[in-house]
Amino acid sequence: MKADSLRSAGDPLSPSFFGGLACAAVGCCLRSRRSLASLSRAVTGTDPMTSPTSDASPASAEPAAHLDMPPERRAAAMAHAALLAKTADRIARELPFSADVDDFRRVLVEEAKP
Amino acid sequence: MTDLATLSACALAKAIRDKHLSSVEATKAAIERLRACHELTNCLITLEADEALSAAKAADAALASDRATGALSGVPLAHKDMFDRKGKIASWGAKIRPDKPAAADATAIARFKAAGALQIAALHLAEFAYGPTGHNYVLGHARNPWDPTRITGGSSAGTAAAVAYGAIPVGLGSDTGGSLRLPAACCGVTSIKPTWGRISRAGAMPLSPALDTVGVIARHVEDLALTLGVLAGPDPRDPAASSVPVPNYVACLSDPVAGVRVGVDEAVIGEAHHEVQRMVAQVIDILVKLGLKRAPCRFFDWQTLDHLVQLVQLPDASSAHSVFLRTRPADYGPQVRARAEVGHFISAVDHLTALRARGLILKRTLGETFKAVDIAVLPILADPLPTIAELDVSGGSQVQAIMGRVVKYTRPINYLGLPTLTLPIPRSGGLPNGVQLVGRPYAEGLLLAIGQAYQREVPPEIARPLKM
Repeated sequence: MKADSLRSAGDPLSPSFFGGLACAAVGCCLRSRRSLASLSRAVTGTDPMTSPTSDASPASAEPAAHLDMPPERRAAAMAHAALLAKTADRIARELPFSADVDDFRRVLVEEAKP
Repeated sequence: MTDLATLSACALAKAIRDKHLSSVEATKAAIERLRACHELTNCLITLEADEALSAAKAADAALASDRATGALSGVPLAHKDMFDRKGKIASWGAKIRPDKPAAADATAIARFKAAGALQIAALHLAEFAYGPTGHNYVLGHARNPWDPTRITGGSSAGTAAAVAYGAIPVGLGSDTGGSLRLPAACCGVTSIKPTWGRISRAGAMPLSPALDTVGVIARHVEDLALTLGVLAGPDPRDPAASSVPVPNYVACLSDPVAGVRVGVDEAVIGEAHHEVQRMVAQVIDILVKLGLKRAPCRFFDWQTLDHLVQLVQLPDASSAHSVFLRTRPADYGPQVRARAEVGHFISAVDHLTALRARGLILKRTLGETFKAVDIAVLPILADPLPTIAELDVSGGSQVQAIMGRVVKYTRPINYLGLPTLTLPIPRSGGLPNGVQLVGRPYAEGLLLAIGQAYQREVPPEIARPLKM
């Protein structure tokens, strides 16, 4: 099945399927914030959640300008990202507006029901 | 006398429980085999011989007084070196490591311990578990026990090599884009990558949390069943750990498999090397001989799945490594550094699009690909077992494309979160390879039943260098 048949094949998931989703990922997000803070403290001695001087990426028109990459590798990375972006764009146009990152877990749980 | 190397963990546990063998004897033999395996394959990062023997003595004492009731009491096992263990620092296969010892065991380690198993060694992995071949520019590359010039597959390279060699019966690993299946296939053993969330990831080094899956590699399918039952289940330390009830997987092994419908997507399989296609056909023939029914199926556009999983994984990995890439770039090996950089060029919008689409595409896959089949069969490697030199691409600009070919058949399944069982092909004297059986969510019991039946036709082997 091609991605462009996402809509044309008829969506077995009604919009209501995506409605009213609980944010089961809250705990995970909190954990990630703590991990980030801990990591940052270990590396830089600062906490990005609290430090007013936490390092922002250097202002630059070029993405990931702060990474020390030779031009050839940077070009290859950008080309690869551009390739993937085309797929993302195609999929985005077919996704229901209500599609949510938690739908995946919800489908897994539904599948486990007898 | 039985060669201990050939015993399954189930058989070893029974022999220890019935006092035909002590845990100390089993552990000494495992230590000896791990050392020999390491000489051949570079499988070890840390061998904890003294600690293991002390634990084995304690296990024997507990068994003598009938205090040991765990399913794996006294059985020596080992793990990929990315799991927290209280008081120890995991290497992550890298120069960059945790800055202090772990405060607690990873849940998977703790559950093995609660079942009585001993962890006697920390095993080789790709740097940060971010590599599908067994190459590691920090530790040295892992070598295949069947032919040391060839890859072990990765990232759970040391686990697969040690299991295939017979050094340990079972080992713990993880799979974000193929890291259980690829080494199992390359080393000619089995693995179970369970449904995403089936086993807690707490205390396991993260690579891409949306995809990371803890699992096991073994020679015997019965050991996959036993250990999956030990490891699976909810965990307050991992909100993604599923609370779906855990069946008795060992009991599932004797479930009938006749009539199970095995799906074959000719178009997707047809993109593999012709020799790999022949191997897949050979395995399908065996499954049909066991009574399974072959039926056509069709996956969601495979290249789109492959792009979507990268849109999830690359930014996840880049985010995890962003600070170290900035502050300690020289401490990365060239390949992981090059791969970890790429996610910085993917927009947050594209990343979230891939995550938002995931539920819909899984639902479509279950409703369409699996509409008329119970499982699907796919290759693992797209090509016959490569040499270490052939895939020694370091951090060159072709790294995405070349690594992409290696994980072509594995990482899209991580996007779907589906369980897979690795089955080694019948070697007939040649090099190993493997195929994957893909099931619906939480269909591990069915996969294991098929695997158990398959091993009656294709018994487990001990890996030793082939005379080519």
